[in-house]
Amino acid sequence: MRYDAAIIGAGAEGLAAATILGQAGLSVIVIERGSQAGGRYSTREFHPGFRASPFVDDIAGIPPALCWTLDLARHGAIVAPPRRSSACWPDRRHELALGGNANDAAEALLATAAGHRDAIAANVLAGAKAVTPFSLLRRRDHPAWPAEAWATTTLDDALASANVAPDAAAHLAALALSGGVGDPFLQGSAIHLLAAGAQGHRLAGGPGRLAQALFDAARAAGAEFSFGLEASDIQRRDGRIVGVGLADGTEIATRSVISTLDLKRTFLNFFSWSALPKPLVQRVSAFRMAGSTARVLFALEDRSSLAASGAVCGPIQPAPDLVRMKEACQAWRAGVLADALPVTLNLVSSRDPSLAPPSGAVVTATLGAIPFRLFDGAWTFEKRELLRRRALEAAETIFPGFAQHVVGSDVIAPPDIEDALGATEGDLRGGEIAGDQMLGCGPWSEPVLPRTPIAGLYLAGSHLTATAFATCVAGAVAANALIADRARSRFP
Amino acid sequence: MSAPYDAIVIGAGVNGLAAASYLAMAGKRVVVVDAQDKPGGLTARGGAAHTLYAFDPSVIRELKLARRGLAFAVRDMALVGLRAEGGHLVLTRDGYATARAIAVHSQADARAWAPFRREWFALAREMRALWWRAGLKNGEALVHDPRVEHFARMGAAAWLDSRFESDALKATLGFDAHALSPFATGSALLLLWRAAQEMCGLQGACAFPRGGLQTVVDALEDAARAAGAELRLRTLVADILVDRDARVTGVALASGETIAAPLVLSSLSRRRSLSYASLRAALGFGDVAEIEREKPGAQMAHVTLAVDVEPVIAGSTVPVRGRFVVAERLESLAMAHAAAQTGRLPNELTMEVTLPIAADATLAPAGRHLVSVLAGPLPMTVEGGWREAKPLLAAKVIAALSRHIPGLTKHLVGVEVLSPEDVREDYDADDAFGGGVDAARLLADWRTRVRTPVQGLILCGAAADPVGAVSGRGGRMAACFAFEQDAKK
Amino acid sequence: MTLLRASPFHARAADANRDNAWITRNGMTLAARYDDAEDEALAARLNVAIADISWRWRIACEGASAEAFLSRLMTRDAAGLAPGTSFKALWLSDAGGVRGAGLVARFGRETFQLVATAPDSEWIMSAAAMMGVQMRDVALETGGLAVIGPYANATLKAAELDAELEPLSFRKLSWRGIDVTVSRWGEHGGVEIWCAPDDGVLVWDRLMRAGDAFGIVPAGVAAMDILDLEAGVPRPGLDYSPARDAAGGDPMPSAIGLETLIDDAHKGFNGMKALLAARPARKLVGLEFDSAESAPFTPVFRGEKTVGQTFRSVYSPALKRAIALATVDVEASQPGIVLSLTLPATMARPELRKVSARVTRLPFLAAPVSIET
Repeated sequence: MRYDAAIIGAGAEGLAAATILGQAGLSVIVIERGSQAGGRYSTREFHPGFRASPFVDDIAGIPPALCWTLDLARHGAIVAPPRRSSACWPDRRHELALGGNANDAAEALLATAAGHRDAIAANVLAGAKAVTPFSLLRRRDHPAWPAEAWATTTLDDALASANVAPDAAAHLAALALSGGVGDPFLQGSAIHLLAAGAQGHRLAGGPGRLAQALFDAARAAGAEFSFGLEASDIQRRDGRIVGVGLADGTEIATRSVISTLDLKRTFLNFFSWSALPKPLVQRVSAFRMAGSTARVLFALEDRSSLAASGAVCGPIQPAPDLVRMKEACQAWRAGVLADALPVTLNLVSSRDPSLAPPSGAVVTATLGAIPFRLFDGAWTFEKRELLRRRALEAAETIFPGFAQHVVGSDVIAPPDIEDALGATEGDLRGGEIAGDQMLGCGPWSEPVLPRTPIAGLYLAGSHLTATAFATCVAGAVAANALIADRARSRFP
Repeated sequence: MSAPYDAIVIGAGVNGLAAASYLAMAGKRVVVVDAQDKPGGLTARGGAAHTLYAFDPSVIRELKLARRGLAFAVRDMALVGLRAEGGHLVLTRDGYATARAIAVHSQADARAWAPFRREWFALAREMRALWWRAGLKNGEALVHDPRVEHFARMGAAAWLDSRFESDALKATLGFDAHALSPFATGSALLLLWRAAQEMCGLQGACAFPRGGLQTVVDALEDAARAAGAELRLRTLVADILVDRDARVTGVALASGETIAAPLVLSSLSRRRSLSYASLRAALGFGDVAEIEREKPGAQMAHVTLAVDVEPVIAGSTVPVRGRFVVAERLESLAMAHAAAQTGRLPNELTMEVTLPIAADATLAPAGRHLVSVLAGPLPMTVEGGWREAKPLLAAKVIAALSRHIPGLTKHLVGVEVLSPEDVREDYDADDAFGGGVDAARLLADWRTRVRTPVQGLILCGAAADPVGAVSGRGGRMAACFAFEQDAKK
Repeated sequence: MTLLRASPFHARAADANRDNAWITRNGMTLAARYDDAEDEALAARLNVAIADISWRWRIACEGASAEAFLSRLMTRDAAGLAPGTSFKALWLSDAGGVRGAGLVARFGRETFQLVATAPDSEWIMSAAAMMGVQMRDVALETGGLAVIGPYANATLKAAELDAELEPLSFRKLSWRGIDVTVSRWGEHGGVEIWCAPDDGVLVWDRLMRAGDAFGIVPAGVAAMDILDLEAGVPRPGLDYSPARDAAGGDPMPSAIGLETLIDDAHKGFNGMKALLAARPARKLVGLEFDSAESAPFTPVFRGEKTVGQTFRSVYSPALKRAIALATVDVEASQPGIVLSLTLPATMARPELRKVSARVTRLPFLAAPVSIET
């Protein structure tokens, strides 16, 4: 049978796209090489009795309109917005209230960033429905993106012009760069204020619950699934897509494909280079990836050492410092682990008690500025141990006595992220967060990026502007574009 | 009471003299005041420039500078990248020869060179509408052109990395964007700006005036005097006076004298111009905060080495009348910027070198040769102070050049260092480039760089240019703005 | 003039009340929100929350004729009620209009308690006097805390409080030295703990300590209102004006969605004849707005025709949209029908805005399921 659409990847984006296409009455199949859906939003037991999400603790915000379309609440995914974030120095602490009322300059800036993010997501979603013929030149009447100024300002300047006090500025910068890498003193770094690191919408049951809810929604909408086999190539005839080939040689006949893999992987994996137009190959090769995240998960048998922090919830930044972030960025470029790595700690079990036994706790550490390729060789066991030690040191500064209660841990380095999720260079964001790779300046300078020079192929990977900053939007955008194109009979 | 002058120009540098010339040619009574004892400002002293690459052709034409003694010893200096391992890269206007030179480092780059240069120079030419106020329309629309937006958000490193693979070519080309780190957004625009310039009718050329940069100053002084402008040297301005409506009424000199005029053009940076006491009171809090926040960008130091034999660059034959860039990789520039931000000298110094005597033999007595080095990016304030750092910097420069000029240390007879601190102290200039550069400044409407919140005060110095350089354009734009304001009245 | 009373938990509430936001219900001062109402409502759905419910109106009904009186008063028969259990029912005016909705709990053969959110003391007491039954207001004798959320049971277990109870049942027990009554009367799947006023602070502290591992927060009145709406529960005095006139036939039970609290098998309750004669014209439905702005007490249209009116309306942080309870004409009350309303102008939005609202089955969201540890 010929499907109307085949979706590669059953992560949040793929499931969202499947739901929307299914609700529109199209026949959809989702191809996933793993054994279950969810992608990066999964929760697994990393030590007997202790569970955590290996890749991300929280999700980036989902626009309300998408929540309604996907009916997430009724499928069991209730998303709570982020509330607090703290930064701890040896002698003082700074807290930020995220969302809610802005009480000072820092919170007002965060509220502005959140407003920009929402506007960008709305912009992209609205644009997807419009049918634009694919072209390499951007329409000149396209309105300016909100936060366009941030694409050329330094993060330091953006904080200074908002009159943010030094402690709050370091805190905000650490939050924005959490799990990523950037130089706060370099022009263009202000765009990180929009980044997902500054969000942290949580669900009870962790991100895995979102995956489950989306899976249920997709199935309820009539989508079919294929698990266990990797998609190996996309077949075309006469310039039109006719099917997707799987690793075991079988072929799924389909009229169009939505790929939720990132830009580079989509083009360089599924097509032979000679079959693609040369400018496309050049632009895709020039697209910059910036894999920089590593995660360390800790299982603690005794919560007592964590009690000292009181009612701390949300991410904790140990002693953030702008200059150290800059040095970490330089070290990252050189393929070296900086002396002072940016770390974000999160007591995930205090907000989601199901992750640990009642007397225990799960603490995750998200490290930034971790190079995918190390200057001095491969990611050996020793290197991973080094990451674990760094995370442990950071935790000790906030929770004295932390180390002696740790009964188990797990280290997820950038190559592990690449292997597990198919994210090129372990880049969870699908590309460097830079003004010339987003905000309408993508590889093809199109305001709405799901469409590609290949008819019938749509992208829903994480490089899309809005999805560096939001969840499920890329899938929705691709699905809407597909539906709009079909309505105009752009392909049979 | 009628004001004796129509305009006062603060600073008798290249821009100040140009502005004065234009105003005087239009019949205004102009006086130029300068605290130094000779005109020319930084250019005369040999501050952060040793070649001429951005001088406005309109200024040369309209002020008839060629008749006043401005001639060029070299019209189009070759760009040479000095490589540590030899195999220096020579880039000239001859596309075929350049491609052959690049091919030594990378065949792919050699093939990619011609299309890149064509695209680069074509877009740069279009962007003149934005940067040259020569009566061209549609400058504003350019800002929203998708190609410009794309470059505005791009780092030079990203652009060069996407077209070329060899460090030699990338670093040599990327050096010209040294005002920003190559990874900073907007540094690609700097390369476009550089290519938008025109010297001696050649686009993107770098020229060497016969007699050194002093001839530029002399020609401009001649033009100003011939037009009827008055020049008062050794005159320090203590304050700019304003009336109750925040309109300029004149200047107060350090000697106590006041000169009245409704128009004041200042060659100083925006921050310095607006920090005069009476003006501060006239500004709004938002303006003051914004001015306070302005940070100086990366600085250059001018190191001049005097040697007693003709310096010979080892390695393959290189045109001695070119300009030599010492930068191993784009990352070296980035690290130098990073070091500059924290107030440290970079480990690996990047610099541009010229041999003035080779370019123009008249510049020094026989037997003496000069090596002129513009080193940077460097911090404005270095930890430990510039007094201690100057010898360190000189030593680094000498060490780096010794690799390429054998016997340099043996034949060295003199070293002179003009540090950013010297520039600031001697010239009260804040910095030689008129403030930090970023994409916003490069793409802003020219009027926003020239005008100030105070009525009657116009900026005419390096701050009025998109990128501070010896250009005269600042003066010309300031004069245009002044005429525009007159026409409105 | 009735004086405002403080709840037995006021001291702790005052400490936790970040912005000093208070509200009064039934003459008692309570925290409207401790920090952020939406946060607290989400905590009640995802973790565990405690809410002060001491403001509930409670009267004790004692005597040999108590059972007969209550059967005559309520729309459910009290005869079959076993001690330690309870039922929910309405009491109507003579003309069949709803005067109140509440819960009748049997403590003993001749001891009952009526628990409701809004008082109706004078009318009930005079009716009781006619049948020779003594009623007295016992709200001041106990304070109550509701423990709600998936980890409510886990919290109580950690606090060593045995709350193994069937829904709608209750019992007295001794909890580490203090006498409390625990019940499962609420609409949100939680447990209520009733204690002597002097023990209030101790009960609060014990629960907060036990729930710390599960992320316990105190929930204010605003958060509870959000939960009420998400559960589709209308409240007298907040959503609708209960009938107060002897001749008042409004509101009808079906118009406010409470017809399920009437036992069709029960006969002889006050207002039954009028109820049987009436034909329901309106029904209670839930409305889901396509906006985050709520619209309480606003007319609802279908096309150009007015078909009903909203009751309370809030932004639901779980559903990420504004919701409302509304009473609409029966023809327009099918789930899925799209109606519209006009949002009034506000400071942030000076123009009127038309919003569409979809009719939804109630409850919007089911009560949180307990997670056992």
